[in-house]
Amino acid sequence: MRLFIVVAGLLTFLGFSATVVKNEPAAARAGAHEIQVFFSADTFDAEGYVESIWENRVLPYVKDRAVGILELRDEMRKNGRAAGEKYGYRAVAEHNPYNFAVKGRIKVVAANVKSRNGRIEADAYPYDGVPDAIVQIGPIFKGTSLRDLLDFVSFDDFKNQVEFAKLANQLNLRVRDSVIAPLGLAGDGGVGREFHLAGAVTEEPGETRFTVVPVVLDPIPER
Amino acid sequence: MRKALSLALLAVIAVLPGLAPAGEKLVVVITPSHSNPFFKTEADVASAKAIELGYAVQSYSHDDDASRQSNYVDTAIANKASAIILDNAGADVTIAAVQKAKGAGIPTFLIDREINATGIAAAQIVANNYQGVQLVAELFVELMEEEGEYVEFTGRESDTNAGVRSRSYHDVIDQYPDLKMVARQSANWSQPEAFSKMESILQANPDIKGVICGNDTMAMGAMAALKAAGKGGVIVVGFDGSNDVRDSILAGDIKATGLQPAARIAAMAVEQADRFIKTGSTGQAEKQLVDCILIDKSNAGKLDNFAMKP
Repeated sequence: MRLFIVVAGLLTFLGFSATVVKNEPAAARAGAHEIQVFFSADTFDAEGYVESIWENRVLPYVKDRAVGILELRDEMRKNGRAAGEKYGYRAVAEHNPYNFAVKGRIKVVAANVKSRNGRIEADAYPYDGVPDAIVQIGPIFKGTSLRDLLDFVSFDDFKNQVEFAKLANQLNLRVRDSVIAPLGLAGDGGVGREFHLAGAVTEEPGETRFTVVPVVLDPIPER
Repeated sequence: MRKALSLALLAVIAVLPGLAPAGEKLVVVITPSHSNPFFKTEADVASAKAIELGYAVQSYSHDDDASRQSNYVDTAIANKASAIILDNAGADVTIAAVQKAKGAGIPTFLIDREINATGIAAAQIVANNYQGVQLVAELFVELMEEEGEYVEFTGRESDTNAGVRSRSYHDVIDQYPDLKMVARQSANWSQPEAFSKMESILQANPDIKGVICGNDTMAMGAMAALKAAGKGGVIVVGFDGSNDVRDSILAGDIKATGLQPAARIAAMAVEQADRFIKTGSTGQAEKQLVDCILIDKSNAGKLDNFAMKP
């Protein structure tokens, strides 16, 4: 025992204390995903924060500044930069892509519900059967479009990028729980159904169809 | 007496060779080791930009050692620098160094990595590592078809970005229950270390399908070990956007990386320092998060020295 302490002390002295991680299958089982983050972000209550802004700030903000999907697409094809300046928002003027709020009456023409990052292909009204946008339906949502669209959220107000990321992830979880869950899309992705859509997209150079994170997806009753 | 001594010391320092000639303002650039091309690019671009804007430049490497970083900040103070451009040696340990410079009237412009405090640095132009890794992780999940065994190599534990990147990989990948991590080790950003660790992990886990790496040098090491073992088909992804990984992607080996726009960030910092020196303000928010770009086969050809060619 004593020898062990001496050896351990010696190793520490020699600088070996820093994570000599052996190949550890045990870590791959229980607690494998317990990641030590040197930048702990536990002080920020993302859930509480999103709860406090969702109804009275996020929803009105997106609805108010939303542009028609087809209108924005056409303007972006004509002049992406002008469309960005007119309708988009980005926190850092240089290098970063623009984010937009879009809206439209849509019909689901195809769906991928096999992937955890479920998606529907949406035809925007007037319908021609050709999908104009992809709408993420989760349960996993990719990207940070929704956070990055909100001009009242500033990175300056967050301790670091991990906290800031927690906000983006929590906004996506809120979409999953408040927007998507009540719709019962899991089976077939709602193919054939119509919705009023409003949501966030991030400019993707070279991509002709928007990928939307929905904040409004209201079913239109079948006639 | 003490004051006279320190004045004398300053006088001595001021006549040392290589220092700013009278009348020319000095920008001090401090980064991690230039043996990593990422940091070399940062230092080179910042220095070139400062010279272009009419400044004298001193460039140092702190080698991720907080006390060396502190010494170089002291040097900058002693040499009456007009600004410090700093890729820092730790989110917490750096706070005191930046505060010290500020106390001496020297603004610090942080590049690449942020610190856990605001209101001290004149600017923090941060590569959004979390967002960049998220893009890489999402592509990784897609290439893995949402299932299979994988290995993770993380960076040096003391480095903020090692934690941020690992966290971001897992925030994405852990949402897919059929993706199973069978080993997770630090290879300390090192190519040879990743090579030897990959070799030994393979012996215990011959069926791995993917490897996620906290940076490009570790991805290069892992890929080389996999190829040597006849497992070149394993899906390896990295992060940084180095020319080595670009070439590997174009050759069909490594599948993706995230480009941190190091060149652009370094130039932005010097431009903002210049504006700050001349007007007292950068005209920007302190913390500026600059997005990273996903690099795969479709756009790797445009990548060169941590920037995208038009």
